Amino acid sequence: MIIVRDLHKRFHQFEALRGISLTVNPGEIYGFIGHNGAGKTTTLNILAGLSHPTAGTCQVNGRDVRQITHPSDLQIGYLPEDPAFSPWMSARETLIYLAGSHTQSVKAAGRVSQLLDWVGLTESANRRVGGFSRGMRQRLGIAAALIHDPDLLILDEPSSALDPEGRSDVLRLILQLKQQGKTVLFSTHILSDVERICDTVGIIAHGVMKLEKPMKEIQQDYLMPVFDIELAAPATPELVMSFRQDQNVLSVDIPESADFSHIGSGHLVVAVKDAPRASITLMRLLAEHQVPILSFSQRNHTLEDIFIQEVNGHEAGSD
Amino acid sequence: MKQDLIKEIRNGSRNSRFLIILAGFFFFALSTPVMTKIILPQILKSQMPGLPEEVMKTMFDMSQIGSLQSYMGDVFEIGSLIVAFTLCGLLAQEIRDHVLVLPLCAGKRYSSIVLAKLIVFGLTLLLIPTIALLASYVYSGLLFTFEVGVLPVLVGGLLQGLFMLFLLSCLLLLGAWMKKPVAAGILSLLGVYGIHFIGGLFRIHEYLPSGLLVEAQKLSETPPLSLLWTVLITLVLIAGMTSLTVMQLRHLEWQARAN
Repeated sequence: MIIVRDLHKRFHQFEALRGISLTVNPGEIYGFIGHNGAGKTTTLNILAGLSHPTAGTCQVNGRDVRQITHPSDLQIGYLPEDPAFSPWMSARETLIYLAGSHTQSVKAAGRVSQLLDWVGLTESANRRVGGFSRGMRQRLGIAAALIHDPDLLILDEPSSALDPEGRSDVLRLILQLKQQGKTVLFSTHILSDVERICDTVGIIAHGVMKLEKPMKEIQQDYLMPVFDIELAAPATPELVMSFRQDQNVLSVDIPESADFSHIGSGHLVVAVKDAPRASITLMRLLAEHQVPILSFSQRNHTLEDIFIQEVNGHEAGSD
Repeated sequence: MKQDLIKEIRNGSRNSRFLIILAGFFFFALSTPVMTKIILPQILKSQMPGLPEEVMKTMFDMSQIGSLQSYMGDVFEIGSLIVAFTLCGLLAQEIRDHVLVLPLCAGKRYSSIVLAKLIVFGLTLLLIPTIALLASYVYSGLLFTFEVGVLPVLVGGLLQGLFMLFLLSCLLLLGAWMKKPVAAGILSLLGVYGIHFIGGLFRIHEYLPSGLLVEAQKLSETPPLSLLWTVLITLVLIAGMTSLTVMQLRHLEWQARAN
C-alpha cells in the first residue's frame, strides 16, 4: 500500500527528513511514532500528496507521489493533525460538500448520515462546526477522511489532544476500520495507543527511521525484564558505568521525566537478561556506591522503553 | 462544482459578505442624490450666505447626471475599499487556516474551488453595482428629472460590476500568492488605484480596466467601439489572473499542521 525509500525533505537550510524508508502492508495498522518535531507530519504530508519530497521514492496505492497532479489522485483518506473546517458550515453540510458530485447526491446523503452516526455526531449534525470541541472536530475529520470509502487511511495524531474517553473512541474507530479491511497508517507520540492497536511500528527520530518492525517481533525481541530504580539523588556516572559493565545488564537509560516530583532525583531504567541474578547484582552495586534508594521495582519492557532506547541511541550516536 | 457553488453562497450569506457589499453600495446609491439635491446646497448656503443659486449651480452639477456621476466616483473610491476588505479573505484566509486541505484530499479540484468563488462573488459584484446604480437612477430621477435613458445606466452598472470582478480576481491571485488577507486587500487596492492613475496620466484608459469606470461615468447613449477593447482586455486579464491563481494553488506546499 505504501512503499517509501530514502525519502528526504528539506525546508531551506533545515533537513526535516533524512532518508526515511518504510513499508505499510495492506490490511494492517501501522503506528508511526516519534517525538514532536521528529518529522512525522512532514512524512505524512508527503504521503498524502500535499507536500513534495526533495529526494527519494514514495509510492502510495501504486502511485508515485512525484507524478500526481492532485492529492486526490492517491485515493486515500487523510486526517490532518488539527483538521480545519469552514466554521460557518454544519457537520452535515461539510460532509455533503466533501462528498462532491451532485449526480450521486442521494447516495452521498446516505453515506453522510451513515458516517455521522458511526463517528457519533448524529445529534450535532446540523450544528455549525465553529462551535465544535477539538474531539468533535477530530471525529468529523475521520468521517471526512472516510467520505469516499478509501482502502488506505493516513491519520496524523488522531488521538492527541483528546481526553481519555475521546482517545479511546478514536482507537475503537481505527480498530473497526481494520475489521472492515482497511489499511491505517497513523502517527502519534502516545505510545500506549500504539501498543494497544498496531500491527507494525515505525520509530522516527530527527528525520531518521530508527526502527520498523511488526509489533509481535518487537515484543519477542525487546520484551525483557526491566528494573525501575528511583534514587534519592541523581545517579552518578560511576554508578551508571558499573551497571553497564555487568554481564546481565543489557541497557541503562536515564529517562527525562515530565513529573516534576522527580527533579533532583535519579530515575534509572535498567534492562536485564536474568532478572533474579540482576536484582542481586544491582542491589549490591547500589550499596557499594552508597546511593539511597526510594524504590526498586521490576516490570516488563514497554514500547516507551524501546522508544527511549532507540531515540537516545540515535542521539548518543549523533553526538 | 455544484457543491462548491452552494458552499460559496453559504459563505457569502452566513458571513454577511453579500449584506456588507449590498449595504455599502446602496448607502452611496441612495445618499448621493439626497446629498446633491438637499444637503450640499444647504451646506454651501450656511457657509456662504447670500450665494446666488446660479453661481451655486456652476460650482457643482445639480442634476440627475451629476448625481449619478458623483455616485459612480464614490463607487470607485469607496466601493472598491468595501469590496477589497470584505472579500480579501475569500481565498487567503482559507489557505492560511488550512481549510482547503480536507477538500483537496476529498477530490476537490483547484479550478473548481477558484471558479466557484469567482462565479458566486463575481455575479454578486456584477449585480449589486447594477441594481444600486438603477436605484440611484430612479431616486435621483424623482428628486431631479429623468435626464438619461435606463439603458446607459444599465450598461454603466454592468461596466462597474465588471471592474469589481477584475478587483475580485486580483484579490484571489494575491490571496493565493501572499496567504495574508489584509495584505492581499491592500495590494489589490493599490493595483486598481494605480491602474486608474496610470490610465489618466498617459490617457490610456481604453486599454486598461479603469476605462470601464471612465466609460460608465459618461452614461453615453452610444458607447464608443473602443469600449469593446476595454471589456475584452479586462476579460483577458480576469481569465489570466484566475489561471495564475489555480497554478499558484497547484504549486503550494499544503502543510496541514496548524501553526
